[in-house]
Amino acid sequence: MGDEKDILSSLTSELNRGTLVLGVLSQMKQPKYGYSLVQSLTDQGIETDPNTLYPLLRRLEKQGLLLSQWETSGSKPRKYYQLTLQGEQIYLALREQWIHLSEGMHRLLKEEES
Amino acid sequence: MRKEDQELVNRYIYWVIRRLPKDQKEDIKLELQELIDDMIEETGSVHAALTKLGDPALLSKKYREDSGCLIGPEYFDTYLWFLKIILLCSLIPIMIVTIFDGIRTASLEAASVGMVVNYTVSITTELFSNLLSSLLGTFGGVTLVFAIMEHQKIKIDMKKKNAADSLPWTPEDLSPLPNKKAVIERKDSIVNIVFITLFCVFLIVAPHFFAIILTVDKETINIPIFNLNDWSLIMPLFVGSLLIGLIDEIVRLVMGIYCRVVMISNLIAGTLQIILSFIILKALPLWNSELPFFFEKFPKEAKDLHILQNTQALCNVILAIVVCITILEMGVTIYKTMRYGLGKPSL
Repeated sequence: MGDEKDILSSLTSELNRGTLVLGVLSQMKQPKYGYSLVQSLTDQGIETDPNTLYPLLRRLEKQGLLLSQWETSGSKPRKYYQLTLQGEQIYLALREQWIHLSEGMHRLLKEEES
Repeated sequence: MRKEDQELVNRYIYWVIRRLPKDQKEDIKLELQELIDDMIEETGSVHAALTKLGDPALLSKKYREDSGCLIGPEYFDTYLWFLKIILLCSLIPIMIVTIFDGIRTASLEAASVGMVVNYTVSITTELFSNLLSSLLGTFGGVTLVFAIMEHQKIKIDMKKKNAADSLPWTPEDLSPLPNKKAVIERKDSIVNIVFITLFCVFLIVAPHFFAIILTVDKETINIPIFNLNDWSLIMPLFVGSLLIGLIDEIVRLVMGIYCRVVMISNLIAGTLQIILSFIILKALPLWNSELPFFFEKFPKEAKDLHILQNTQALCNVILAIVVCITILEMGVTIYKTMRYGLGKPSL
């Protein structure tokens, strides 16, 4: 039983990890700081752990998809992230892939149901 | 925020950024401070915010993305720094020794322009061959030691992960910030590293440089102090003893604080070094057997070097110094670990 739970948990996190990048990129046309991104993803039903999201934001920045800037004029310093031009192109291509994939998956699962 | 809460946050951030590359530490520190502040506002307590963030070691691992690396980002800064020092301390002396030896031989034996050209070609070839072999040897050796440490760390991480499965992490598991006196700085190790490397290089490529040089009737006499006839037997033990010290320095550097691992490494290294020193000085024919004849032949010129005449006594003095210094260093490590370093995570 424990093994089954572990396998399910590992597969679920693999599934989430794959989709999280797309979810993050979809929210970054306007500058956002990390925790506001966690909240907006959660509000849309995508539960996201900050301890996964923050390292991911840095990785996407390293890959050139996001650009960060510290904003110090507010009550406390905040690091804002925004899509770069390359990030936007990648996001659009990924979105196309996702739509194609999800339509296919939807058909597969519907067939199996019937 | 209350003082105790800020202390808890500081501890959490410290244990996350401790093993991250230097150039990212400050940025991630600010980023985490911002995140934790936001989470405290939402959850209402530091405890709840940190519990939600989870084990700092796992968060640190996510920032490092080091799975599968031969040498991960955690050790990479130290590895590069160490490699640079070792390469500088080995390649430059090897270059100097090869050129010096080549010129000396050429000046004694080259009788014509053709022979000078031959010697120049031979010195250049030997120089490149020596540099290449020592470059490969040094690079390979240092990389191997760091790769082993990386592998061991991964093994320990995996053990910790298994243990953590049964008990979820809570902020009460956070270790306190280390005492400043427990921190091992790079500058504390640099003298030892440079000295050991230079000594090793000269023992390997130029043991004849350790010599007594006297001027007798305007003629320079050069007598090596070591027994070069049996050098292939003595040198590996001699260099091995020094390399054990070098590995101990690497352990100190990568750990960065006095802890159990540093203490155990130092105790093992110190014990082995004392045993090897005893073998080298008391059981092996370390000294040049011609030294006594040399002192008999040139008593006037060598009168200031009488300490070298009785090699038995000399061995005892050196052994006593080595044992005293090693025991002192082991004592200091034990003291600092027990006083400031225990109770911290071992890796």
